[in-house]
Amino acid sequence: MDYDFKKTNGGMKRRKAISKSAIYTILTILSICWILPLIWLILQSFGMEPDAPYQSTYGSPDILPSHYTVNWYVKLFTETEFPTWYLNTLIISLACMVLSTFFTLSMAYVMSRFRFKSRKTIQNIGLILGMFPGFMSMVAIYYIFKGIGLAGNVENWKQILALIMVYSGSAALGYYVSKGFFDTVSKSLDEAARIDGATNSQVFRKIMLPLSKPIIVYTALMSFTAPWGDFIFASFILKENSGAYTVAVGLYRWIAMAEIPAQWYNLFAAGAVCVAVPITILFLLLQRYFVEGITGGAVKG
Amino acid sequence: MASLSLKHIYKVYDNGANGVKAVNDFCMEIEDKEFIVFVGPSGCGKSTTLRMIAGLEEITAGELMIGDEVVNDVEPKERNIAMVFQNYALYPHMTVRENMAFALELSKKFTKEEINDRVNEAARILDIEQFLDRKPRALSGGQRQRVSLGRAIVRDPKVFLLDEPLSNLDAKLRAQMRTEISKLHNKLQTTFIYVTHDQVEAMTMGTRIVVMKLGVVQQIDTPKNLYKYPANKFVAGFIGTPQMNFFDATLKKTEGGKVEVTFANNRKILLDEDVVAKTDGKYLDGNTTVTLGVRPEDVHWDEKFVSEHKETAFTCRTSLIEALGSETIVYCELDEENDAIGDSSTRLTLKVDPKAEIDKNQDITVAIDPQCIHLFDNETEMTIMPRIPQYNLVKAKVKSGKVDLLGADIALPSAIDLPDGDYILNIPSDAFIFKGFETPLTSVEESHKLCSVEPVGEKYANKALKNLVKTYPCEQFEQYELQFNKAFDAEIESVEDIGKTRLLRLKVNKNKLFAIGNGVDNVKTLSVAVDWKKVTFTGEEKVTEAFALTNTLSARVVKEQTGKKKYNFALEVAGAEIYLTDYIATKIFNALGRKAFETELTVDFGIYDVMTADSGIEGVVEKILDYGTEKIAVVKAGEAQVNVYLGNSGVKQGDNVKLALNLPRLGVVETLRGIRII
Repeated sequence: MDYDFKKTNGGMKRRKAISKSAIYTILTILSICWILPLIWLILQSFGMEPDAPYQSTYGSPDILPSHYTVNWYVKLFTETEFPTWYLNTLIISLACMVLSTFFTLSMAYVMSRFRFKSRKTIQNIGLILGMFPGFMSMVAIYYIFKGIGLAGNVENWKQILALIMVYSGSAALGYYVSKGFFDTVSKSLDEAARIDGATNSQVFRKIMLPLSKPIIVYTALMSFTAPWGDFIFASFILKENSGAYTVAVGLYRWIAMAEIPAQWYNLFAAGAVCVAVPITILFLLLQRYFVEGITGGAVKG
Repeated sequence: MASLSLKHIYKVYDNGANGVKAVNDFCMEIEDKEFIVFVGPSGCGKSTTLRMIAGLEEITAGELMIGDEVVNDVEPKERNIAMVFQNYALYPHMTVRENMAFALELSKKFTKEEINDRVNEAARILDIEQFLDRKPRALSGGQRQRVSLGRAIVRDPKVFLLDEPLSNLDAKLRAQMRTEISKLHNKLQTTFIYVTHDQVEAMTMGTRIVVMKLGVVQQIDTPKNLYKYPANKFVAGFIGTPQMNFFDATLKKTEGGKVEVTFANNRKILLDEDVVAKTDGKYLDGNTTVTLGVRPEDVHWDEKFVSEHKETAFTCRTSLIEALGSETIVYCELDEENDAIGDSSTRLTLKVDPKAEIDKNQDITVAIDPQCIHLFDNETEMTIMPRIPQYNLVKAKVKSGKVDLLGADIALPSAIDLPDGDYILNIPSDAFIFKGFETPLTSVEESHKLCSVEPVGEKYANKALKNLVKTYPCEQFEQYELQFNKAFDAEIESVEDIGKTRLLRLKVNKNKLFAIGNGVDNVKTLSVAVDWKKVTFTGEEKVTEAFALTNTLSARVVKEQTGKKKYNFALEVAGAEIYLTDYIATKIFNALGRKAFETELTVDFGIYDVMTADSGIEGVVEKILDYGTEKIAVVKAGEAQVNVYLGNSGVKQGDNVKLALNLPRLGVVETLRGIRII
C-alpha cells in the first residue's frame, strides 16, 4: 500500500499544534482574569497621586499609578491599629496550626489504624458534620463563650483564646484526607514496630509522623490559612472590640465603615498585601514536602 | 530459645451465626531449635496462625504457650519474638543502622555501646556492614531482606517468625537466601517458624512441615515423611513437582499373594501383598474404587527396570516432552481411544533421564515402582496405607460365649453378649495389653502435665453455690487396676518405631496382627490380653457399636450474685453445678466474653476421668459392663448417659450414684460453632 508518511505525520503535527494553541489561549485568558486583581492590588498599595504623598488614588482610571511610594505601608504600621491586628491574627493562626494539625493527625491515625466498635459510625458522623458550614453554630458558640467568660465585654486575650478554640476545636472533622494518606503507609510497618516494642504513641511519633511529612505540611498549611482569612466567626465574636481584631475583620471595617472610601483605599491595598505575605512565605518554605514522597524503600519496591 | 505449644487454636471471624474459621483446631508442640514451616495454598490460614503467634491477631480460642508461659494475652513486644515480613517492613526514614537498633533503643535496657556492638555483629553475620548508613530505598530487594533479618537478630529473640520472606525476591536470589536462612538457623540455634506457599522452600528448610488447607492442618511431619507417607491426597499432590499422578483403580487380592490393580480403562498391574499389608481389607474386594497415586519419579522408563518389574509395566503414548536440562518430563496419554487432555486420570507424568531419546507420539513401556505407590480412599481422600494401622480385621466364630480367635478359644467377657455365628472383628491396634508392659489405659499424656500444674483456685468461688459439687484431686482418678486376662500368646515378627509410637507386627498361629506396643522391648514372645471394650463385632445377626471412651454432656455457665457486683460461676452439667476452676473459667470467658452465659457448651471427659464420689452429678447405674480386664458402669444421669470406669468400688446395678469429674482434664466445646475452648 502506498503510504505518504510526510502527509500523515504532518497532519498529526498540525492537529496537535492547533489544539495546543487553543488550550493555551484559554489558559492564558483565565490566568489573566485571575491574577489581574492581585497585580492591581499590589500596584495600588504603592501608588500615589503626583505631588500629594497621602492623596488616595481612589477613582483614578489607570491601572498603573503615575507615581510610586511606600508611604501607605509606613502609615499602616505607624498610624493605625493594623500592627496589633496583624499580631493577633498571627498568634491565632500559629496556635491553630499546631493544635489543629495535632488533632487532625491523631484522629486520622486512629481511624486508619485501629478497629473498634462504632468506628464506621463515628467516621460517618464526622464526615457529615464536617460538611455543614461552621457558622451554623455561631450563635450557640457565642453564648457558650459568653457563659464561660471568653466573649462579650472581656479582655483582648480572652477573646483571642476564644477564637483559637473555635478554629482548632472542630479540626478533627477534617481528618479524611490525612486518613487517606495514612492508609497508604503499609500496615506491616506498624506491626514491625509493635513487635520491636513500640507503643501506640511511639508508632505514631516515630514511624507514622516521619513518613507523613507531605500530609503534615498540607494539614498545617490548611489550619494556618483558615483562621488567617476567616471573617465570620471573628467579626461575630469580637464585635466592636477593635483591640482584638484580626486582619480580616479590621480591614473589612475600614472599607465598610468609612464615610469616604477614598480615605482607606490605598491603606486597604497595603494591608491586603501584608496579609498575603506570611502565607506566601510559608508555602514557599514547605512546598517541597508537598511533592516529595518519602515512603520509597519501606516495603516492596 | 524456647519451645512453643499450640493447643486447639482457633481463629474465627464473626460472620453471622456460624462464623468463618480461618484457623480450625490447630494443635502442635514445637520443640526448641526446630525449624517449622507452615505451607499451604493461599487462604489456608498459615499466615493467620503465624500472626497469632506474633500477637498481631487475637486468638479466638485455644492456648498458646511460648516456653512455659501462656501468652494469649501478652503484648507482641513482651513475647520475645521477632518477625520478618514478606514486604520487609523497613522503616524508610531510618538508616539501616537505625532500623536495626530501633527495638533495642525502645527497650531502654541497653547502652549505646551494647546497641552498637549488637548491630555490628548482626551486620557481620548477614554481610551488610557496608550498607549500615544507607537508607532502605538505596538497597536492593535481597539486601533489604537481609536488613530485616538483621533487625530480628539483634533482639536475640526466643522465636523467629518469618512470613513468606522470600516471595518478593527473584528466583536466583530466593535460592541463595534460602540457604542463608538455613545457615542462620544453624548459627543462631533458635526456634524458627517460617510461612511459605512454596513447597520447595518448605522441603529444603524445615525440620518439620505443617501442611494446611482451608484452616485445617492436614499433616505435620518431617519433609522426608511428608514425601514418603502423605496422609491424604491433598498432601500427596501438594508436595513434589511435577505433581503426583492419580488414577482411579480397584484392588483385588488374588491367589498367590498378589494384589491386582485394575484401572478405569481395564489396564491391570500386579502388586505384592506386602505393599498393601497395612491397608484395610475392605478396600481389597475388587469393587471399591480407590485413588492410586504414584510420583513421576517413581515411574521408570529404562529397560532394565521395566524388565525387572514386568508385573507393574504397561505401555502408553507420549504426548508432550519437557526437557528441563537436568531432567526431562514426559507426559503420556493412557487412554489412546479418548484423547482426554484435561482429565488427569488418563494422563501420566514421568521423569526420565535427560539423555533419553524420546519423542512425541511414541509408544513406550513404563513400569511403576511398586514400593512407591500411594493409595487413598476416594471419598475421604485419606491414605489407606497408614503408617500406623488403626485396626485389624479378623474373622472369627462365636459359640456359646467363646470366640475362636486366631486359633485360640477365648472366653468373651460378660459385657459382650452375642448370638452364635460368624463375625468379623474390628480390633483396634491399641486394644492389646501385654503382660509385663501394661501401660496406663488412656493415651492423653498431655493433660497429665496440666493435671499437676493446675491450681484449683479460689478466684471464682469464694462462696459456695447451692448445689456446688466438691472437687477431688487428680490422683484419686488415676487408680486404674487391670485384671490381666490372657487371650493368647504372640510372637513379635517385627518392630517399627514411628515417631513416638512403637508398632508391633504380631504373629499369632500363622495370623498377623498390628499392635501398638509402646514400651515393649527385649522380648520375642508376649502374653496378650484383649481390651474387649474397644473391639467391635460385625455379624449377620448382630453388629456391635464401638464403646464410647469419651463421654459428652451438654453444659452451660451459670452465675449467682453473691453481693454487689460479686458473682460466683459454675458449670451446670446434667443438673449439677460444678465448681469452675480458674483455668476453666478464664478459658471460657476469654473465648466467649459475656456471651458465656447464653452459649450452649459441650463438656467431654474420658471414662477414667469420672468416678463415683460422695457429691456430684446424680444418676442411676443402668447396667454394669464387665469386660474382663475392667468393669464399666453405664450411668443414666437425666437424659444423658455416662460411662464410668469402676475400679474397685462396689457399685451395683440400680444404685444411685454421684459422679465427680476430673476437672483439669475436662474438655469444653462451644456446641454451635464447634470450637474447642479447652
